[in-house]
Amino acid sequence: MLLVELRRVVSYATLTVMTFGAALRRDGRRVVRAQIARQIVFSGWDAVPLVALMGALVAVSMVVITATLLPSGQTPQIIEKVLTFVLVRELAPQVTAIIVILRSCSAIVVELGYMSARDEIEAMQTLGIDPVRYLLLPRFSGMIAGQVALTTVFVGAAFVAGVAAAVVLGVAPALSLDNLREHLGPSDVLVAVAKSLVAGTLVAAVACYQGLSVGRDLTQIPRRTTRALMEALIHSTLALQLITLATL
Amino acid sequence: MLAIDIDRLRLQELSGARLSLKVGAGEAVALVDDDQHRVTPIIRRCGGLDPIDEGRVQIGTVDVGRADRHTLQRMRQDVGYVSIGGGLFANTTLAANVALPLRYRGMAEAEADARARELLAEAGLQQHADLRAATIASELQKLAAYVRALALQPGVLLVEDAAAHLHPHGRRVVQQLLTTLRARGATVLLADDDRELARHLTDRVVELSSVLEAA
Repeated sequence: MLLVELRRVVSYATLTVMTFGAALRRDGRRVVRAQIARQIVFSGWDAVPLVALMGALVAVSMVVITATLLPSGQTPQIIEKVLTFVLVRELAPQVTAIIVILRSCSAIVVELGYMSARDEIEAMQTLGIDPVRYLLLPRFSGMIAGQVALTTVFVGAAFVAGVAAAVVLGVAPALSLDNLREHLGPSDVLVAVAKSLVAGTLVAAVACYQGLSVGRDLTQIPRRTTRALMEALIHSTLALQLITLATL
Repeated sequence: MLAIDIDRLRLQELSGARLSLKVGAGEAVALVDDDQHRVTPIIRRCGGLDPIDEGRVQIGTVDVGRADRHTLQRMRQDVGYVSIGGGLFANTTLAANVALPLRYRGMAEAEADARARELLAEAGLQQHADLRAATIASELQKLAAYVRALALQPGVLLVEDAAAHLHPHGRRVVQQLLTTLRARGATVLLADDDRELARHLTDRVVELSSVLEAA
């Protein structure tokens, strides 16, 4: 069981290395660039409203809970710390990763699965088109860029909504975005970016691997999709927690 | 001009029998058998799609069985391939299907699109150019697959099953496409269970049993 898991993790790592290696080549540059742009729009841009909404809701909840649990004298300082430390370093990358998994991971598995089952990937090879470069590289790029950008959107929306909630509810009337910016250290930003890069890469690797594993059996598509969702969630959560522990 | 040299290729599908066949540069050969499933694996190995355990397949200077992924990719820029079902990208229009290999080679989008439409028109598919592949009849898909495989003007064409999905009209179109291809000196190796069509499309029809060496 452990050996099977280990082998799968090695397969994900191999696929990732192959894809990053394909980024160094130049064949099909224009058409690959167009594919990358398309994937960034799908994985990143299209998810902006949902991520912004989630960021705002999470921040409002955090402000309300902090204000309810703490004595009123300490509330503004704690809210600043919670919003910068907990939200930027922990919640933003994690919640964004979950949204990316739900939206893009399943879509990639289904798309690659159908292409695999219909021999389209093999046809691509016969045309001298490298499937790693044409199919996987855009998906990896889109997922990684999307994850980083959406984490930023999440933080931005959460800051605005958090400050608005604190001011409107009267729990920290003097709180402003400038206060939050002062509390936000470079290490917080670095940790959030590192987590986003790792989560984006992991989710892309799992989605692409499971999609390509469908082979010619269409009935594998729902199974592989479910497996990809579960594995992407588990692997990305574990990786993010490891980064948290390593950077405390 | 590229030749194909199959030397003692061992085929598990044929109980481990070995096959040897030479196709000269510019020659068109049909490998025929009553059972299509016995000849298709040979073409797949020539195209580098299935592994070669024993024996050798050489196209031009490339040893297909020993070539790495990138060598095969480079070889395929000069080797067209038509699979049984065609393998078109189902969710893409015929024009985009044909234009993709051209665009991948660096042709500008508008130019590739115009060229793709021109090639589709030569096969009588101009009115279907903007339809998604999944929405058209399998015969038209197969014809479009021929057009796509020939778009890069390959030096070699490999065809898994020339007659599959084709009605008499489609067969005439394929014959015409191959005639144009061969006028440029291309080498053709196809597998088929339809000897009549094979005779029309090629110079030489080879019975599978005549080139097999029992295990």
